[in-house]
Amino acid sequence: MSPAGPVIPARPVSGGRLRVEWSPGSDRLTGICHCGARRTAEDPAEIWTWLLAHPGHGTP
Amino acid sequence: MVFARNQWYVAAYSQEVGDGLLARTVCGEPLVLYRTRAGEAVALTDRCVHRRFPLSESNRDGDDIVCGYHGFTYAPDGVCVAVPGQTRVPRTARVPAFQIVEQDSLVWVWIGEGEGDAKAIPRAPWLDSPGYVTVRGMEHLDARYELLVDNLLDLSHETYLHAGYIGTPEVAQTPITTEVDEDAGVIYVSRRMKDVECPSFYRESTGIEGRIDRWQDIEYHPPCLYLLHSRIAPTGIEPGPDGDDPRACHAEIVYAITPETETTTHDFWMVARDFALDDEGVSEFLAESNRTVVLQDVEALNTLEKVIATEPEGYQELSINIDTGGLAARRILQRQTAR
Ligand code: FES
Ligand SMILES: [Fe+2]
Repeated sequence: MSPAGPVIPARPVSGGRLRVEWSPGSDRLTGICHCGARRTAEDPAEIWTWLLAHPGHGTP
Repeated sequence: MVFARNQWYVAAYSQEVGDGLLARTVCGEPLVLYRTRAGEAVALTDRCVHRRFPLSESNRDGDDIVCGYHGFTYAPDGVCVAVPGQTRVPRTARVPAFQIVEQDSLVWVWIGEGEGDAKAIPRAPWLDSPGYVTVRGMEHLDARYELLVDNLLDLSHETYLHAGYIGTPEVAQTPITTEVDEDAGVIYVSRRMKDVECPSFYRESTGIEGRIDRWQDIEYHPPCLYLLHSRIAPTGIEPGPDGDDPRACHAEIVYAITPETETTTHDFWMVARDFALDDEGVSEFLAESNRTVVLQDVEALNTLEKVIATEPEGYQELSINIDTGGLAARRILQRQTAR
């Protein structure tokens, strides 16, 4: 079970990434921009629109 | 729909390309693939310039292809080097030759404008690494590739469509993190299940008894390469600080999603594993089980394509939280298609 081949890359800390967190059971999605701005919403299309508006959504 | 043409696509597995003439259509481009005596993979347009006869149904003469209809002869660069009954070969007699890059046991083709940047091809090094064993297959999908992208980015469908195989109730109940790297154009969807039931797919292949921690980390490089880093470990076992993880089993599930036509797709699937490397039985089991699961998706997606074909214009889908990753993928695909 010890990989002699390439090691699976550890997931880097989100540099320029846009992030959406969701827990099933909850209706809320949390969007986290790479600038640190956060927002919750109930609809994935809405949360992506908000994230992509960076820097229009302002910094925290 | 138009295709995202200025992108790299997997046209074939390396092992499929050899002495024979392989016909494969990529984004509506009919190709013939073969390997020269020097071992170089070649992709030409699969249509003779004379009267369109498919070169894939023709014959090889050394590294050249001799058209099976009237004998136009093409070199690996697509240039026609001989025509029957005359010495002058028309200046325009050539078929397009496409840029090929072979790596990680995959044959990538560039059908876009100019020269493709080989460094932009996403990697899947497990597929020909000595530390892994890979089983693979390919299914033909009578459905547009976007349906397969949707399917693979939302694994909550495992619970319903693949119940008893890879689906367990927990898959649809575990928190999901979706990330998009806008600059790199990569989508990540991560689901880390703790202390859950082990589906038979992994119980029988890994030999791990009891409850497990199961990670599903998706990395999608649109349009073609989809990686699912699957980690299975006895519950509570974490990777070491430097990333070494000897007590866990890793399965690298790889898909190459290659549009054939606007409504059909080549569904290449691979499972590379770092456990039970010498166990033929595990290879057979994983190949068989994974193919069963893939065919469950194929059947569902073929049905969806038929539904789409008969529905009125302007049908409105409804997206919910499980579609977060799929929506991100669609947006990047649209951007690539517009280029
Ligand atoms: S069609 Fe190929 S030589 Fe005539
Ligand atoms: Fe599936």
